[in-house]
Amino acid sequence: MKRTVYFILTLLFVLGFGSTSAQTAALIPPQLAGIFEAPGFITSAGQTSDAAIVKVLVNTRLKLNFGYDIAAKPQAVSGAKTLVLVLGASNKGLGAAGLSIEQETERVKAVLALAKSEHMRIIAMHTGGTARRGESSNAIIALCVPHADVAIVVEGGNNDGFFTDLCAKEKVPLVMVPSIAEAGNVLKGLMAK
Amino acid sequence: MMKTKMHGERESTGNQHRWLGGFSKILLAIGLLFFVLSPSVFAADTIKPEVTARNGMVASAQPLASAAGLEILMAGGNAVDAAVASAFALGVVEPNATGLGGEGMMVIYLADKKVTTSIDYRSMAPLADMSKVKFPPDGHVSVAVPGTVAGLCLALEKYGTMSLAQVMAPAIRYARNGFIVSDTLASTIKDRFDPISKNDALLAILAPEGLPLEAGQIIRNPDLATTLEKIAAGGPDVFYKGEIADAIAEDMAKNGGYITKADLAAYTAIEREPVRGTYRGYEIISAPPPVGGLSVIEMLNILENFDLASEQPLSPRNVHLMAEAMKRGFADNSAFIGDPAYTKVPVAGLLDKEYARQRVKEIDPAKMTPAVKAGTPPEHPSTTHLSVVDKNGNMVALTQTISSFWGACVAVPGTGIILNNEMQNWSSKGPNSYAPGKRMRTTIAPTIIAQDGRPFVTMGTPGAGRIISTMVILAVNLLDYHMGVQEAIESPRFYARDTEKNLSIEARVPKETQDWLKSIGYSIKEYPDFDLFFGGAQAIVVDLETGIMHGGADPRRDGAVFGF
Repeated sequence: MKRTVYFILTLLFVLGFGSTSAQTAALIPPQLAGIFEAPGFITSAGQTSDAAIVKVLVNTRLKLNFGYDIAAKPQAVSGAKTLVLVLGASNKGLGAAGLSIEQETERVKAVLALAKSEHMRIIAMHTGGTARRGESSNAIIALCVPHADVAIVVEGGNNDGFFTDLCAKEKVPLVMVPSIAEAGNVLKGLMAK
Repeated sequence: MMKTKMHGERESTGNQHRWLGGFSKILLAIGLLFFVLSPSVFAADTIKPEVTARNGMVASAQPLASAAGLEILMAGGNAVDAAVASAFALGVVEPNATGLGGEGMMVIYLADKKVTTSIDYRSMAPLADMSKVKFPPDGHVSVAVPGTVAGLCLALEKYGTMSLAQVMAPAIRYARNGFIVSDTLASTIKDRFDPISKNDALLAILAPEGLPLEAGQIIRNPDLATTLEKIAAGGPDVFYKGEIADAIAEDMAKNGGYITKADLAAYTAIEREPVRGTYRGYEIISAPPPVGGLSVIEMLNILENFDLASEQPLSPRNVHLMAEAMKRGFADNSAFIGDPAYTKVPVAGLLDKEYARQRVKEIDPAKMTPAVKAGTPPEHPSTTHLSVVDKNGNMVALTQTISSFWGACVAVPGTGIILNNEMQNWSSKGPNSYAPGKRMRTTIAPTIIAQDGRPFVTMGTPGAGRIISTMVILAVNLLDYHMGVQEAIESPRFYARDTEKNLSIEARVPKETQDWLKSIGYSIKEYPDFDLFFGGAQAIVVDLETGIMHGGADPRRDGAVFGF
């Protein structure tokens, strides 16, 4: 009896683990799996504090050891092969960085131009909910997404279909994930082994 | 009543004709007329119910903190016992805003002696010379010597009836067993996650599995439970001279901070005489310098010269007059208020009714003043809140803070204590300029209001620069418009500073009012309907005829009122 219970528990664990991995794999567009290379660099587009959460996710949890600067200038990003742009305008973040939204937009444009000139691949991520996405956020998202190779969005941030419409229009693959943790798994799946 | 309003409106439109022109402006004037004559916009239901009780009541920014105070009242403790219990509990369950690493100020009314007093437990600059240091917004250098433990212990020792162990028991329980993360708390973690993620000890509390805690998850702080137990057993010396002082000093030394054991040992809470004024016959008793009660009274002194009750609470004229009063109060706050041990604060001058009348003469009822200068008061010889009332009529208004949410984003390893970032609050010059050992100015203003010598309101709010303006709005809502306490707390807020044209408002301020304010020079900065930017007020109002307590808590935060 005891042995049967152990067997069932082990089977459930294996199936559960296996199905989570399979779910993550199913989310990743096959043509993108494993094509993003290290070194990577994380910065925000709009000074959202979500960038710091992505940094912890990528570096502490997934041990990918990406560079990070929430307000990186182009020269800091130079040399990376993958750029992760965490999208979202935050008044608090802009205030803390001493930037206006116009200055931040110019910084993001410069980073995008550098990324393009160095043929970096770009992952656009949005991990905040729709409530954290105002007019300024939408503008900066619309600026970045057309340059991205893929957009990873936590479902709550696309309740209004904003990302669905934008990605369809710009022909950018959209990966919707249920949680920030799952966004990390997808990101790991995109990286070359 | 209606006749009075119509008369007020006719005067107002008469003024407008001088500067309004064109058809659209006439339409605006007609819109305003309809607005001022319409039934009160506040007659509607409140989001949270007003709570009533007879034997004791606690209103705080977090339900578990209110429950802690109620538990103490029901066990026979007085208002001071309950306030201290709630304050320690708030440090656990609202750790983004307050805690052992922070500071505060409380105003106490003792019913048997019929006296009010206040306890200043503002934080203090370290004794080392930091005059060449640029104070950052986070990290160890931004930390000032905390006052919370000294202040709460002094209040309990002098005016409480229970032991530290008794009143700290709920806080210890919450820290050890944990509690559910609210949307508000989760949001504050995300908002400052960048600096939070740089401090391993804080990250271990707020992101135990690597990612920030989300709403609905349980947050526990067992190290803080142990620290609280040590203080409960050994008193404040454990914190200021014993092993907790050792832990703080060691972490500071390792990370370039300035606080030493000598700084902690030198800290004392100070009992001060509250500042007092009157507003339409009511006595206003508030927290003295270096905090903001004086400015609340000064603004009310200015407003006393206008018949606010003759118009709707959010009528264009009333919002304009209140914004102009705020501008003058803030200008004087910046110019005159600082640590009284280091600067001579003209308390009596700023409270002078004639001085307020001089300031009133500067106000144009039909034009915004873009930049207000400090006045010349006559010479005379001189970020969470909770309110508690007990069955004997004792009252406490207590406001605590760690400055920014999550303070310095530094936790002291092994103690669970999150430290303040008060050192960012110095001014470059004037009465609030830095000096070693000095207490920096802040806007906190816990306040008690009395009628004929009988206190019946205890109120306060967090909200950084908005504290003073919100306190004035609360007083006017209660005393001029006779709103219920919950209604007064929920009514739309606005905020104007002396140095700018901006008028920050919640979006519920009627569009007609906003349009008129724009037309006289304000630049409107609109916030959502209920926004944390404007603070999270808590208040209790006692009906002096029936003795029934009415409590209100702010939906802008996780506020809760409990009574029995």
